[in-house]
Amino acid sequence: MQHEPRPPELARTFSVAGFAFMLVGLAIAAFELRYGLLLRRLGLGGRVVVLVCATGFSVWGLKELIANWWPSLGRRGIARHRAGWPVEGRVYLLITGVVFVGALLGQSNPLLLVFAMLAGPYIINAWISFLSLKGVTVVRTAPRRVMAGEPTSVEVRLGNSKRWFSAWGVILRDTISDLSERLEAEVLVPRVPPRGERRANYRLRLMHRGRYQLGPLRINTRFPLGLVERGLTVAGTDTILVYPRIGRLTANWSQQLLMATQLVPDMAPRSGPFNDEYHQLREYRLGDDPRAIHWPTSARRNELMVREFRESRDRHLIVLLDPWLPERGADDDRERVELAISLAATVCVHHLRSGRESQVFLSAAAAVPVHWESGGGGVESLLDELALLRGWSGTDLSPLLAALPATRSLRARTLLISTRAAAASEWLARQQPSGGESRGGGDAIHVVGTDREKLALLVDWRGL
Amino acid sequence: MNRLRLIFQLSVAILLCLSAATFALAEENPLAAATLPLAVFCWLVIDRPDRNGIGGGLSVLLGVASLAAAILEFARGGIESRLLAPAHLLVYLMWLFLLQRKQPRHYWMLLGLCVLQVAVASVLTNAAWFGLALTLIAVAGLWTLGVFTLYRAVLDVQAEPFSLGGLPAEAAAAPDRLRSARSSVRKGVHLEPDERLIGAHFAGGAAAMIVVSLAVSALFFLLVPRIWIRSFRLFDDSPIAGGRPLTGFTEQVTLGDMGEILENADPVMQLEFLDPDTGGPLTIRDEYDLPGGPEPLIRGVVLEGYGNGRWSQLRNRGLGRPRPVPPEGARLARQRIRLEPIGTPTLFSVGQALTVTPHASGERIEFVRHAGIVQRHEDEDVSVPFRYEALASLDPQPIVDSPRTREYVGECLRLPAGVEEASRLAHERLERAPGGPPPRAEDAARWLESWLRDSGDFQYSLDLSIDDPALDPVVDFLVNRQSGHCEYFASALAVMLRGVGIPSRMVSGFKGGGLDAASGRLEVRQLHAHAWVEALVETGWIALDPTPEARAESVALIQARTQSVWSSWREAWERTWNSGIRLSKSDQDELVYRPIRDSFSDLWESLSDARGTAGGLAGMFRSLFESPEKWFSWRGGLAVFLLLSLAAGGVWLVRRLWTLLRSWRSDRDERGRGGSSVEFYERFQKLAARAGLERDGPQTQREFAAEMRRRLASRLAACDLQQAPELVTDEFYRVRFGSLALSSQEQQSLLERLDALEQCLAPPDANGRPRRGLT
Repeated sequence: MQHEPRPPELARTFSVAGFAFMLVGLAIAAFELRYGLLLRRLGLGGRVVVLVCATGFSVWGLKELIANWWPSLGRRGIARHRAGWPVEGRVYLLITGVVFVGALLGQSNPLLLVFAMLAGPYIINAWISFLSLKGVTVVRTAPRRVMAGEPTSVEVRLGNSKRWFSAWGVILRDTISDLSERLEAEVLVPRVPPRGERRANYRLRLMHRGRYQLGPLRINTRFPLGLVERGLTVAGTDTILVYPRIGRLTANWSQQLLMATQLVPDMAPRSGPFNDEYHQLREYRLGDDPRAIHWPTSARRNELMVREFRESRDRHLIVLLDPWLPERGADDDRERVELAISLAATVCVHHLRSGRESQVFLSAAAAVPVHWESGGGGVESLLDELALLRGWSGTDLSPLLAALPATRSLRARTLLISTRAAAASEWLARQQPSGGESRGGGDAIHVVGTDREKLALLVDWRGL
Repeated sequence: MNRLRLIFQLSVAILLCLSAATFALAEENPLAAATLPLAVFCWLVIDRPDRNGIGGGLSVLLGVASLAAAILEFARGGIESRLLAPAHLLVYLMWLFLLQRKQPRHYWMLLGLCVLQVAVASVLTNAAWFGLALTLIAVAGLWTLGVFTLYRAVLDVQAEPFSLGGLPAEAAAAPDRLRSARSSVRKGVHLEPDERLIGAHFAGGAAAMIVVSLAVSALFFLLVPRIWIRSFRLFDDSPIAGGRPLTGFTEQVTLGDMGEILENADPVMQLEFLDPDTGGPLTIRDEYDLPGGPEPLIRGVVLEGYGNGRWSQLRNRGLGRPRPVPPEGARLARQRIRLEPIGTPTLFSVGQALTVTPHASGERIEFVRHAGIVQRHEDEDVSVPFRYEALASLDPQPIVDSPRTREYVGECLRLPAGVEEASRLAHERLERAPGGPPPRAEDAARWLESWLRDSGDFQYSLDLSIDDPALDPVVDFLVNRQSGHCEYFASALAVMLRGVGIPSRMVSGFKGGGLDAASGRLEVRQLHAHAWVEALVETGWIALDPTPEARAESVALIQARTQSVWSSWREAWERTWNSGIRLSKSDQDELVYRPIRDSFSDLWESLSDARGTAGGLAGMFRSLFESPEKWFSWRGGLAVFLLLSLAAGGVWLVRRLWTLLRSWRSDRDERGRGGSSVEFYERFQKLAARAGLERDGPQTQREFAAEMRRRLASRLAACDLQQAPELVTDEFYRVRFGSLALSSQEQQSLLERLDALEQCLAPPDANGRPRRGLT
């Protein structure tokens, strides 16, 4: 059973801005009802305007409190909009308040004018920030599958349906997370024109195999003055399936493993030299067929060079994967599981690419065993399986052998990739007391462990 | 990024220079002005090349030194130092931050200091230039904050190292550490190929934002109630905020004082004449329609005591009640006056004020009985504009005989020592009158007035040079110089009248002004200041103006010199600034709150009488359509605006309704097509999701079924349900795209298949039995 990463939740926070606005609204209403400041000056209309504004402040503050305390509510409707109160904005308001009190104490109209010059832009900042994100739509386009360690790009299409106003200084913040890590992508889009759109993108390099969750996506703006922040949470989430890292098999791999398996007697008749393919040029050795000499190269290098052909009728490959993980596995154990899975993926991909007619079979031990054979769904379906495969703590490897394909012939090479190579070898030996690595019909099961030093000789993990 | 950084740094430098210059001008101290070269220096040496400034230790040391200097200044200085010492600390701190290598927090500090500096400057001055400086600073500040916001956003998302090829450095060092390698993400700024961070769009947006911000700020300023906290005063002796009285209009006036203001075009008051009987506006086409003639004398300060070139008010002139309104036939002038704050409690009027009604209730005024003037109570604030309505008499004012009156008249006859020559000259001139000395006091007074004004022996001049300092200035004027401005002529006549036994007093006020023919208002400026004489004759106190006509020419000359386009703009600005910055509680109520209150009332009444409103509107539109000449008037513009707004609103409403209707129909159709069939497929998808399979966006339902069958092959085979995904999908296609309804038997079969699938895919419980999950 695969474990899915839970959609990342926004952190539960206490909205100071919301609380402050709620208090301010209540205070204004109470003050007006008690002292009738604007009732005396503007009449009943003034009082109605003040009470409506105060109620608006309070309701809006309450909404902010709820939306921040229960962020799961904030994925739809009006609660998607958030207001932030950056430190700079708080200090600005503090200075504004000090100037206001100073003006009242000093009975100074010029100081009151300075206060007005500070208060006006603050209101405009809040208004423009709100307006900037109004009518803004966000669509994220992420690749469904990527290779671990390979850079990839996620596109975010930002649309502005407003007729007149641009969306300014929009910062997109996307969360990318799996079970073990959490990343935050940020892209600044300076301007989205009215009735226009911008296609921003950010680059990612995901190193862990498995499923990553993208989202929630938030867009924020502090434009124009940086004193008030307005945010919008976009509900949509996406997933990216990260394939195991694919390494490059070194020459040692061919020499040590493939050659070893080729020592096994091959009873299949050859069909002729036409199925061989050019492999390399090498210097002439005694006994070589003179017809294989490549004369142009020999002339250029001033020594005899011959063309070497390699048998192209590759054997089928059977990969048995044993991603064993102790129940209380340490980090090193988990590393070994990853190495085993990546090695299996690398071997399978390499074989599928280099072989023309050969087939690949993979059987992996897991809570829900995985069986895959080429010809069905392409290499993507194999990598899909391996991307989500998890270590298992079972001891019995019999199901792996039992799952070997019925069509398995003597031309198949069989690899057992295990995180417990020694134990697996012993187990195989017990199963095949007379034949060592051979079984039944005589083909060998070659056990490959996950020892880092040994693997370093066989696979280069820096990429294909 | 470099361009953005450069623009931002320059914006900050300009803003700091503006605020520092404003503060230095307001304080009249060049200390803060040192910020200007320092800001330029720091930009060139530290900010632009991004070099290190002074270090942390030195900064702390300098900060402590700054604090010590400010504390010392605070402790040693006077009243003003209470404010200026912290203000100077702001300057020192600004220098300190300027000298450091700046991070965003340093810039925030600098901007905060800049705001505080401007706030302090606003306390130090209320001159009109400060208004312009404040506007400039606001514009520069808003622009700088806009650029700063963008700059910070770019800094926050600045691209981190991220190699496109190969593994990142950490993973490349240990490439086989697959699990411990950390994923990475590259932040960045998205710019279109032809887009700039600071371009025309940004500049246009910032300009619009600045304009709207300033407009909202102005509204804030006008609407914030002046709830002054009266028990606290920052400056007990108010040396800064108060303002000194206008020269020539104080309790004591030295001869020549008025010359200081005779070349100054600052506005003093504005008079609007009303019909004395009805109180309605009086039609004023030209100067000759003005009550009191083309150059009416506007009475102000009355001075009775003279000695050694100085006029002064008597100490006890008797406060009394308003004079009774004279009988019908008397020449009266009703006037509405707005008096700028010139620091004197005296209220001016054309003619002698009989009644004065302040515009704001609660203002206290006093009538000075013998001097015949009206003044504000000594507790009232004379540093704010004052508006009042006065009814004045243009006829000579008789006196009421009483001991106090006789005492007052006696004071108006008192001559100091040293002016005997003036008395002798007066007698001599009267002797030369045709037919000998006039028997009537009024005739004698007018003869002397005429001699000074019309004989040509005396010249009008603003030159105040003294020929013989040993003589009394009046005698020096009469005997030696024989030239001077109105104060000298008036003083000379007053002294000469006293010399021949006619009680006299000097009056300071204004003569004439600039008439705005459109509004009929008389604009009076300082250069219209004037002095004349009132003499007590048989009919009462009469006004005598001995100043030659050359004074009018001089005033016209000065007026022409000061009336350039620039000066008119300057005056308009100063008037606006003064009326705004001196907006009192009563002004605010009158100019701001009352119109809003009235609008609310009108609106409420209109809403209360909707039928009447609709009828009125219909009538207005009908009248407009029938009269093309009205189309190009404000009513026509308003009507067009209303019609277009209504049309736009109607179109918006129709479009909105149409969208809603389409959405509703689409939903209904969807429900009609899908119904229960979609529900069963949704359940199927939930079951698949529980098993770890989710359908990709571009994947068809059939492809999804194939994938499910392949990936869950063993589990489905164990339950003998290999065909279930395809079968369910086939049913879905039939219903969803074939628009075919499922029979009850098919529905039952489908439900059973889904139940089986659910049991099959449910993870086993602790006892190994399948667990039921979704329903």
